[in-house]
Amino acid sequence: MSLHLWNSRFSITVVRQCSTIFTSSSGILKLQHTAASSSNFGASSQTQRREMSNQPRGSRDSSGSGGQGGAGGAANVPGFQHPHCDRQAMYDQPVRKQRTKGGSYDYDLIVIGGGSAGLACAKEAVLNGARVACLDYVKPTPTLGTKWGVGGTCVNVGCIPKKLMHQASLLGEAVHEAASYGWNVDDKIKPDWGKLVQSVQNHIKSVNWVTRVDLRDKKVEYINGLGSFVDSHTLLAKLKSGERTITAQTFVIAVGGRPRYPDIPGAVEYGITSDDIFSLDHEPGKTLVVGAGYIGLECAGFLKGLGYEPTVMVRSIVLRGFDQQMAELVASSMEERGIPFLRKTVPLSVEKQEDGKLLVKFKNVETGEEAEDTFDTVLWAIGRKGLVDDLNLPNAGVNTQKDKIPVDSQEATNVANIYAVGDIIYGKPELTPVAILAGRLLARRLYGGATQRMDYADVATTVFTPLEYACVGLSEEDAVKQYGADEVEVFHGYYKPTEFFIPQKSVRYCYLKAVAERHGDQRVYGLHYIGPVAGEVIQGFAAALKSGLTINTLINTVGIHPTTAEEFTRLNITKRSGLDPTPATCCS
Amino acid sequence: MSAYRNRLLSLMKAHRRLTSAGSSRRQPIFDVETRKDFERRVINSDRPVVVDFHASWCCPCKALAPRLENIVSEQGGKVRLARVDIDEHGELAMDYNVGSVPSLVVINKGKVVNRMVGLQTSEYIRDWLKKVMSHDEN
Repeated sequence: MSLHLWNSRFSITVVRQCSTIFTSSSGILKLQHTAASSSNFGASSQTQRREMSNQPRGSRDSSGSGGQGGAGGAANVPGFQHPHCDRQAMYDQPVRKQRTKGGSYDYDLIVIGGGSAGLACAKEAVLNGARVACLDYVKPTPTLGTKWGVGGTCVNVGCIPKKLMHQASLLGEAVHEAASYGWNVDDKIKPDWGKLVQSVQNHIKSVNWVTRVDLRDKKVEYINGLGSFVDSHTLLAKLKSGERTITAQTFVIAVGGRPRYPDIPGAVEYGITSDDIFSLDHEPGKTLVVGAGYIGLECAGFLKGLGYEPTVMVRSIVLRGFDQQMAELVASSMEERGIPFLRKTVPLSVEKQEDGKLLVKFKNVETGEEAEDTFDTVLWAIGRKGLVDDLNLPNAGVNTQKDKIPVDSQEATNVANIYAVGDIIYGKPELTPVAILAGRLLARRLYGGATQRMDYADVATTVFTPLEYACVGLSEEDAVKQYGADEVEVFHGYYKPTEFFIPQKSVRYCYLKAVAERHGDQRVYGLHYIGPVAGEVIQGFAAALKSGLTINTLINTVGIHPTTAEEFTRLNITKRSGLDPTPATCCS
Repeated sequence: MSAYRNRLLSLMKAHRRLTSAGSSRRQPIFDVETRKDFERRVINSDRPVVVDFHASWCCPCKALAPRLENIVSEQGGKVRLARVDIDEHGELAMDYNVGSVPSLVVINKGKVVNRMVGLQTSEYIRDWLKKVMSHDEN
């Protein structure tokens, strides 16, 4: 017995976090519940909502399959219609019945791309009886030649290493705070970049391995090769050992994206991207981060926390696509920590000086003024580009839009047997959990007889800046755009996290708001939070919002004291009132 | 019959000794470099080989390595130890159904005769190997 325990404690087992993708046993229940629940959809939205929530867990499909009842029209559409998810339009279009299996093809399904979307889709398809191959290939980065294993962006050069480096940076901060809490801490703590990179890379390698084992166990044929279409049923895979032509009834394109480089001298030769930073074999030193999207801000944030000197260069706005009041607060909180922002500025060129440092020339786009500075590292974070080029899409007849692939509500491209999921699809959130769920639902529709489609609305997300920002639902400006300023009420407040008092941390940017309907039920359109552990705070609220949260429910929810999440239940000042949103005391 | 087999084996052994690349082949503890290397030194080995599937990122693997080296050394050349880095030789690990590391696989005459997963105490490994060896002799 003791040996047994010993054994299980000290072996790295296959059960491991995000690469272990959920399985479901609800497949058989689905159709029955769909039939049963579709008759209810004529009722008022209130009762419908209640009925949906009363259904057993196994019937998750039914809430999304109202349009399949047969009668058609508005009465068949589920009652809860969140403003920016046009579920009615989505379900007006019936699920296409397409032959997805059999035939004389090598596989039923070939998934191109072994990232979050592709792996989830491939595994779920096998689970539903399909013969599946999954292609994965990583082109080395142009500057440093960085490459990685199976698993895609999130595991290798995205969410996972980013969160780990963010954690490293938070720990440094915590050590400083520890002194005020009575710990005897050496004043001079120093990060060891090499050790951090090693630890992060070790974790990634272990995830790569677990992913590989998982694919084998789930009987997905893994092909380490770059795929390009010959025609709509044939793919040419370039492998290390040569080329191989494979055919399939159905294809899922899940190739994702990679960082862009600006078109200026020296960009590719001397600049790196988020593809390189997490495995960089030397300290980044003084770093110019070009771009103020979430990737740029997060990189600048953890570099600062680790003691390097980042500067953020912003062409126009910070955190495009996010609520701009919150975005500016995030930027200000970073400036307060000593990260300079070069506003309205674009880079012109990068040159390598004799001392090895990088001379960057840049220009203010408003004044036309030019300036220059030297850096140890230049990191491009100006956006990501879909990897459509290598796919030879014209051979299959698949349309593209810029560097992405437009799809309908069933993730189908314009070619009937070719689908796309994940970051490669046009106009949808580029987030791992979105990709995983969309990929899995697609496989269930293709091979499991399911009808549920991916709902891309109200997806919560977090920006892991030193002071984190998380949100779900509409930004204030989007709510105003959709409903008009007169119909939108914003509840807001600054707050003071209890644990910030003792180390006297700045509470200046700890702020949250709820964007809601002004009249009637006061449905909540969006929740926004800046503060510690933002993702953990917002995740649960996301479920509430998805269930039709109202301001009344929110303020009648009893908070957990002392937390920062409870601040949402204490919101009572509207922007319209003009009252001061700063708190007087901690427990009033 | 068995006398004939023994003679054949010793003949083959002698032949291999003549054609072998050098002393490196007979090292009792070695890292597997390539798939061919694995075929040559593990599959075609004249004595049982303990294959240690390990990874650089696996702490239990690091703890197991020195114990294993000691125990194999105690065997006085009756058994060899081959180390396989699963990140470098993923296919090999897949072929031998390795799902967790560290995984020990004992291969004799090209066939898997026993396996062990996870970090164990030296005593346990010693007993385990003894059983494997005695089983092999029968």
